[in-house]
Amino acid sequence: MVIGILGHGDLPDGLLSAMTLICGEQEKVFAVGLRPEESPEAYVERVTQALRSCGEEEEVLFLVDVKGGTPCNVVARLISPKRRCIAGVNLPVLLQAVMSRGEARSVKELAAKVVDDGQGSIVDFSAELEAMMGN
Amino acid sequence: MRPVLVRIDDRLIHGQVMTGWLKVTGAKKIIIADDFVAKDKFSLQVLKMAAPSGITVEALTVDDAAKALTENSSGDEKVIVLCKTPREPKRLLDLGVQFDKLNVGGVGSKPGRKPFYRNISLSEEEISILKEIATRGVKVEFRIVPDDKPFFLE
Repeated sequence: MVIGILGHGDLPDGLLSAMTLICGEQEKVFAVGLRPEESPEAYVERVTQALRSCGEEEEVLFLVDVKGGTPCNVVARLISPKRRCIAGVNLPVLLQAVMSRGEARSVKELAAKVVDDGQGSIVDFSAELEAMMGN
Repeated sequence: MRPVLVRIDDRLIHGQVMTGWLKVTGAKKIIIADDFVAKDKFSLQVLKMAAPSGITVEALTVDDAAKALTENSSGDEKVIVLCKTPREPKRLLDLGVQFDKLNVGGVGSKPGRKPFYRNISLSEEEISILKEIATRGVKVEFRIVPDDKPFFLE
C-alpha cells in the first residue's frame, strides 16, 4: 500500500522527514507540498506524477493536512475505492499508517484504523501530568 | 442580495482563509461565478465541504451570476462572489453587476503567468484586464487574508 502525504508548503516533506527519523527509510511513501505560488492544476499534476511512479495497481492512502484546504480539495478528484483519503494528518497519524499498513487487508480498513487511533493523539499533556503527580 | 466582496482566488474556497473573509464581511452566502464549476457537481460538492458550516455555497455560470446579482440587487443579503481569474469579474461588470472593489487573493503560477505580487501570478492579458477594471472606478486590491495590508493597482 502506498501512503501519499499532501499538504501546504513544507509540511508534507517535514512529516516525511520526521517519520523517517523515527521509523527509518520506508518504501512507497511520498510527500507533495503545495508551493506558495502554485496553481491547483499544477499541484494536482505533481501529485498524479508521484502516484504514477508508485504503480497504477497499488492501493493508496492519502493523508492530507486540513479538510477543506486546497490539497484536500484537489485530491478529491483522485479518490476511488482503491485510493482513500484522510484529513487532519499529524505525525502520530502518519506513524500509525506506516506501521499498520502491513497488517491491513485493504486501504479502507487501514483508513478506518488510522482515523480511530488518531483521535487520541492530541491530548492536554500538562493536565495528564498533573493528574499523575496528584496521585 | 449585494456583493460585499468580489474576490479572485483560483483555489476558491479553502478552509481558514474563507472563514476569515466571511467573518469580516458578515456574509453567509458564497456565489462562485465560473462556467466550469457551475456545470461540475463534483467540484461544487467538494467546495461545499470546504466551506464553514452554516454557509450557503452556489456555483453559477457568469451569466447566471450576473442575473442573480442584478435582479435581486435591492435585497440586503450579503454575498461573497468568488472567481478564478480576472476574466469573470470583468464579464460581471459588463453584464451590469455593480461593485466598487475587486479583491485579488490568489492566482497560482502556470505557463504564461509571471509573479506579480507576493504569491500571485498573472499573465499580461490578465494584468491588462485588471487595469481596465480599475479604470472603470473599481478599486483593485491585492490582499490574501483580511489582516493583510492591501496593495492597490493603479
